[in-house]
Amino acid sequence: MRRLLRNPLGLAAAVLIAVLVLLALVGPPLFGDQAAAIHPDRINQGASATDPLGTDALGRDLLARTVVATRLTLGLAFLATLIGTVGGVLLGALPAVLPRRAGRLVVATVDILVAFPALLLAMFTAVVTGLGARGAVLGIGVALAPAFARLTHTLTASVAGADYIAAARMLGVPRRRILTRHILPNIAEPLILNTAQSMGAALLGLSAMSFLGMGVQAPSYDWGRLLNEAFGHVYVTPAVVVAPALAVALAGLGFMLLGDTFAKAAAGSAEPLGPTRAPTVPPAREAPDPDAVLEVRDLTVAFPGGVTPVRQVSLTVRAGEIVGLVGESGSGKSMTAAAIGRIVPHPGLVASARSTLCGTDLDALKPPERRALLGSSLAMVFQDPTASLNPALRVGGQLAEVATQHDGATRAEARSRAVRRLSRVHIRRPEQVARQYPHELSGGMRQRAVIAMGLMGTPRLIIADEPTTALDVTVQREVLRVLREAVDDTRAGALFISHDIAVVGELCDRVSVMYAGRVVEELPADALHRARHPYTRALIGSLPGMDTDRSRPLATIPGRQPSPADVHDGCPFADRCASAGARCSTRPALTTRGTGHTVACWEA
Amino acid sequence: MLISELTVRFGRFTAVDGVGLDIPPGTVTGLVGESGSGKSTLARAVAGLTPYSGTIEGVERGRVQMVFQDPYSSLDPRMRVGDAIAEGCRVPRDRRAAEVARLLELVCLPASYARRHPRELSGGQRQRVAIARALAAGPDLLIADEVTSALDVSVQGAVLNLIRDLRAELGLTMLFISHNLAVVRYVCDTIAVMRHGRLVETGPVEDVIAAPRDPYTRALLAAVPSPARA
Repeated sequence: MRRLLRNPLGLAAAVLIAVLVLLALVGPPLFGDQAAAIHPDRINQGASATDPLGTDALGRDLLARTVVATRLTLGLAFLATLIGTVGGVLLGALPAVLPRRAGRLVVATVDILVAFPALLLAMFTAVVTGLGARGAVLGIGVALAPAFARLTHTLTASVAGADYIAAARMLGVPRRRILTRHILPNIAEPLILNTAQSMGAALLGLSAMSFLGMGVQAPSYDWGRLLNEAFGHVYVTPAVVVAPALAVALAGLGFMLLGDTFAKAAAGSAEPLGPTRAPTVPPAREAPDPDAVLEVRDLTVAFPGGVTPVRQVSLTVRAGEIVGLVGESGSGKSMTAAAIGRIVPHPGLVASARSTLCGTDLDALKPPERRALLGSSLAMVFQDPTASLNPALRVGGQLAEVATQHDGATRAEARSRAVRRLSRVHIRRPEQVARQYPHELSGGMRQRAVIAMGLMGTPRLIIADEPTTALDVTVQREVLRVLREAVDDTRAGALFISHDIAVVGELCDRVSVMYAGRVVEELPADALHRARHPYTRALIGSLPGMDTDRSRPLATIPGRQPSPADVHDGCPFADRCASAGARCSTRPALTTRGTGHTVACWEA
Repeated sequence: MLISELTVRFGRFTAVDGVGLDIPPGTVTGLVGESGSGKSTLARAVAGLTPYSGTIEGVERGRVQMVFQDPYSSLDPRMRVGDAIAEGCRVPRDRRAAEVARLLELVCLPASYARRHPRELSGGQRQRVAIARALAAGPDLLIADEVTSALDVSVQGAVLNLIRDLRAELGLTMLFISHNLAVVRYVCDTIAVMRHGRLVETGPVEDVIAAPRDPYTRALLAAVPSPARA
C-alpha cells in the first residue's frame, strides 16, 4: 500500500476513488433534495450561478443530480463486478474439482464464451432478463465472467503442477480443500488486480447501457441515464452533458489506473536503491606475472545498497593450466567470472587494481577495443548450453560464423574447421551433427558443441561456469575430458567455476575457494587433502565419497553464508567456525603457507 | 513392500518398463540412474501420482509419502510451516500444535518455526520441513527424490545425516533416489540401478560397488569424482 501511494499515478487513482466513494456516501443525504427539486422557470439552461453545470428538462440542478447518481452508478458497477468475479472464479476453478471429462466440458464452454463479443453478451442477457437496472447489472456481470474464468483456469493450471500440490494429494487432502487452501490463495493476487480493472470496465459498460436506454430507467438515474436525458439538448446547451460525462470518464480512469498500479506493484518493479557507489581499489604494487594469461588483482563488484558480491578477489591463470573457483551459491564465484568477461549486469560496477588478459590491461582499453580483445581471446561456457546456441540455426553454421567473423575465414574454410572442431570434442559423425539443429542433440553433446564453438577462434582463456552441473555423471566425465584436452592442445588457460569440490579437485591444477565474496584459500588441487582453512576442510568433509565411513555422520557447517549486503568486518566465516577465537573479529589476510598455498585464517 | 511388473507409459513412450523391486521393511533402497532413466517416474507411480500397470504389494494406498527435489516449490508459499505440517497429521485438533512441535524437533528445527512462512527459511531448512510434513502422516514408505541435489554441499551433509538418524530412530522404510552414487552408498542398504526404464542391477550396496556386474553400473562408478586424487 505504501508503494502504491509513492507512485504518482497510483496516488492519483487512490485519491480519485476515495473522492468517489465519499460522494457516494454523503451525496444522497446532502444533495438529494436539491437534485429532486423541480424548477419550471429554469428548464434546460446552461451554466448559471444557481446551477453551475446547467439544468435538465424539469429544471433540476445537474451538478447535484450527478453527485447523487454516484451512489447508484458505483453500486451497480460493484454488483456487476461481483457477479462477474464470483461467477468467473467459480467457473474457472470448477475443472480442478470436477471429474476430468466434466472439467473439459467447462473449459470448452468458457473458451466459446470468451470468443463472444462481451458487449453483445451483455445486451443479449439484458434483453432476456428484462430492461432495467437489474438486467443491465446481470448483463455486464455475465459479460465479465468468461475472461475471469479463463484467467482463473490458466492460473489454477499453473499452480496445480507445483510439488506442494502433489504433496497435499499424497497426504490425502481432498480436492476441494486443495483448491481452497492451496490453489486459491496462490492465485489471489492477479485475480484481485484484475478485479480493480473490471470495476472500471463494468462502470463504463453500465453507463453505456443506461445511455442507450437499456439500463437504469426513470425516475431512477445513474450517470448513463443522465447522459441519455441530457443528450437531446447537447446542440442547444452543450454544458448539460459535461457533469455526467466527466464523472464517467474520471471514474473509469480511476479504476483502470488503480488496476494498473496494483499490477505494477505485484510485478515487483524494483524500487530504485539509488546509484551504485563505485568501488575504489588502490593500484597494484607488485610486478605483473609474465606467464599469466589472466591476472586480476583486488577485483571488486558493487551494486546499489552496499551489495558487494565480489570483494578484492585476486586470481592468476597461466597458459595450459585449469584453475578451479569453488564456492557455494552466493559466494560470488559466478559474478567473478562475469566481471572478468565484463558482463556484470546493470547497475553493477567493477573495479580492480589490475586486470590483464594476455598481458593487455583491460582497463586501459577503450570499450570497442576491449570488446574486440575479449571476443577473440576469451571463450565462455555456461551451465545451460541452450543459452549459447541459437535454436533456429544449424550447429555447424553457428560454429563457422565465429571463424568468418573474427578471423575473416572463407565460408568453406570455416565450415571444414567447424567439422574438425566438433570431432576434436569427441562428437561422433561431426559432418552429420554440423547439419543438425541444437534441439536434436543431447545435453552433453550440446555442451561439447559450445566448447567447440569456443575453440573456433584462438582463445587464450576459457571460462567455464558450472558447465557440467546440469549433466549426468557419465556425461560430465566426457565434458571434463574434452575441456582438459582443449586446454592441453591450445595451451590456453581455463577458469573452471563449480560448487563441486570433488570435480574441481579432479580436473584442475590449482583451486581457489571463495566464501562471502572473497578467496579464503588458494592451493594446488593435489593438495586439497592438506587444505587448512576450516571452510575448505568442512566442504571436503561434508561431501560423501566412495570411501566415506558409513557408520559416522558427515561433517556439517552450522549457520549460513552471509548475504553480499551484510558481510561484517571480521573473518566472514567466524560465526560458523568451530575454531574461531578472539582474533577473528579482524579479517585475516591471505598469507602464504607453503608452495602455491595461501590461506586467510588466523587459526589455520 | 514388493513392486512387480510395474510399467508406466506416456502415449507411445514407455518410461518405466516392467520393473520389479523388493523393499524389505526398515531398509533403505537407493535408486540410481541418469536423467530420463525413469527413476522419478517410478517414484511418482509408487506414490500414486502417476497411473501405472503392474502391482504394488505390502503398502496401502495413501501410506506412501514423498520428499521432492526442489525445496522452493514443494512448500506452499502462502502457508505457514506449522499449517503445512499439520495437514498430514492424523491427530485430533487440540493435540495438533504439540504434534507439529514434536515433528519439527524430529527434524532438528525449533518449534517456533511453526509460525514462519517458507520464504523465511533457507533451502536446507525448507527440506527439513518437507521431511517433517511427510513424516506427519506416519508413512509405510518414504520416497526421497533427489532431496539433496538442489542444496549446497554444506547443507547436503546435514540433510543426509538427518535422514540416517531418522531411519535409525523410526525404522523408516525408504526409497532413496539420487544420481550421486557416493550419496546413495552413504545412506542406503540396497542399490537398484535403472537405465532406459529398466532395472539393470540390484543388490546390497557394498556388493554392487565392490563388484558391479552390469557394464552401465561400472560406467557410473568410474564417473564418480573424488577430491582425493593424489
